[in-house]
Amino acid sequence: MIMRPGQQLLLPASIWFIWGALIAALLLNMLLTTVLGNTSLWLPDFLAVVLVYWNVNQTRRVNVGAAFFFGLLMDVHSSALLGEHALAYSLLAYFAVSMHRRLRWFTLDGQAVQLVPLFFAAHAVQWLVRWALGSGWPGWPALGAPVLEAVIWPIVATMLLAPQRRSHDHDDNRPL
Amino acid sequence: MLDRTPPAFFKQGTTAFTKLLVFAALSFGLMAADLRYTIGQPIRNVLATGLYPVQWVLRQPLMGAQWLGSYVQSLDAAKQTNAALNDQLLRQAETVQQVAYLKLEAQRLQALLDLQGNLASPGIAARVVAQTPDPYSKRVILDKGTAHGIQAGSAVIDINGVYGQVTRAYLLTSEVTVLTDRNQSTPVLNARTGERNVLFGEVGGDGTHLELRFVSNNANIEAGDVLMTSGIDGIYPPGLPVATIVDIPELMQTNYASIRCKPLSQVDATRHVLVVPPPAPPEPVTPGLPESQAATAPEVSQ
Repeated sequence: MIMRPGQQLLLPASIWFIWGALIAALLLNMLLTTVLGNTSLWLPDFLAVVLVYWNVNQTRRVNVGAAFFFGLLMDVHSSALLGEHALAYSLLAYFAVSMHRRLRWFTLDGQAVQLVPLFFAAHAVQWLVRWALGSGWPGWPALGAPVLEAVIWPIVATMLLAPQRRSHDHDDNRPL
Repeated sequence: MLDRTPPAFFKQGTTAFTKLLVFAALSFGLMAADLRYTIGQPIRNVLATGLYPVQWVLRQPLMGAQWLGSYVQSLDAAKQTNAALNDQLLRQAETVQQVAYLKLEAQRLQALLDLQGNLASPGIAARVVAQTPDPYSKRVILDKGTAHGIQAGSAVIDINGVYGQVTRAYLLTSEVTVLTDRNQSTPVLNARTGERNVLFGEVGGDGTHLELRFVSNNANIEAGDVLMTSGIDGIYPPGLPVATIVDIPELMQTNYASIRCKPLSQVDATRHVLVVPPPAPPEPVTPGLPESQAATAPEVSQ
C-alpha cells in the first residue's frame, strides 16, 4: 500500500477492540437517547461515526453487513421504522469503503470536512424515508447531528487509533 | 467489445457494492414488512427481548435520579401534596360511592334488557420508563409486557383521563402511542351535547394539543366542553374523560373547522398508568340461522 510521507507504521488492530468500540458506541447512543428521549435529535450518532471509522481503516473486517446489523439494533431500540437506520448505515458503510484509500491521505481535520456530506446524506436518507411515509419533518435541530458528527470525527479517530500507535517492541521504561 | 477492467489481483470476496445492494434491498423489504404486514413484529420482538437487559441497565441511573429527586424533596412539598390529595379524595368519595350504586343499577337494567354486560376488565398498573427517541412520533415505553398480560391495542389511562394506546407489546416491555401523536385517533363524544367525533393528535403544533377535524359550521360546540370516550370503537371503555376544548377558530374560508383541544391526562409528565385490555369481542351470531335464510333466499327471489 502506498502511504503518506511521514506516516507512522501501526500495530495491527485487535479484533476485540474493533467490536468493543462498536458495542460501546451503540451503548452510548442508547444511553443518551434513553435519558434525553425526543430531545436527542441534534446529538451526533456515535455509532455512525465509529462505523465509518472502522469501514475506512479496517475495510476487510468491518463492512456493510456489520453496519446493517447495528442499524437494525438501533431501529428496534428507537422504535423507528424497521430498516430505517439499517439502510442509512449500509449506505454510510459503502461510501466509507469506496473513499477509504483517498481519505487516508488527509489529516484528521481534512477527513472531517470530507465526511460532512457523507454524514448529511446518511441522515437525509432517514428523513426522506419518513417523509415519503407521511411522518413529516423532524425539526430544524436535526441538522445539527451531521455537523456534530464531523466535529467529533478527529476526537473519535484519535481515540480509536491510540492502541495501534503503541511501540512495536514493548519497553517498560518507555510505555508509549 | 472487450472487457477493459482487468481481473482482480487478489480475491477479496463479494464487493462492497454488491453487499450494499443486498442490504439496501433487505432494508426496503423490512420497511415494507413493518408497514404492511405483521412479519416485522416477530423480528422486532426477538431483537427487543435481546436488547432488554441492556436497556434495563442503561435506565437504572435515570430511575435512580428520579427516585433520589422524589426522596429528597422537602417535607413541605410532601405535606402540600398530601393535603391536596386528601382534598381530592374527599371530593371524589361522594362520586365513587354513587358510582358503585349506579353500576349496580345499570347492571340490573342491562340484565332486564338482556344486553351484554359492560364488564369492567381488570387494569394492569404500569410505569412509564422512557420516551422513545424517534422524533416523528410521541411514544413511551412501559415496564410491563406480554409476560405481565399486556396486549397490543389496550387502552392506557392515567389519573386524569385517557393517555394513549398500546401499539406494540414485547415480552417484557410495551410501547404506548400517546394521544398527541399525529397518527393517533380517539373516538369521542361531547359530554354536553352527545355529539360524536374523532380526536386526532395536532399536526404542526407544539405537540401537546389535539384537534377535532371536520366539525361542521353549525355544530353546537363551545370552549370548555369536555370530550369523553364514546366506547363505540370497542377499545376504550366508554365515559373516560379525554380532553377539553380550548380554542374554536373563526370560520372564514371553509365550512369545516378544526378545533383545538387540550388533553386532560398529563401527556408529558405522567409516570404511572393503568393499562385496560380491550373488552372481549361480541359473540358471533349463531351460524344456524343465516344458513337457513341463505338456503331459502333464492326461492324467495325467484
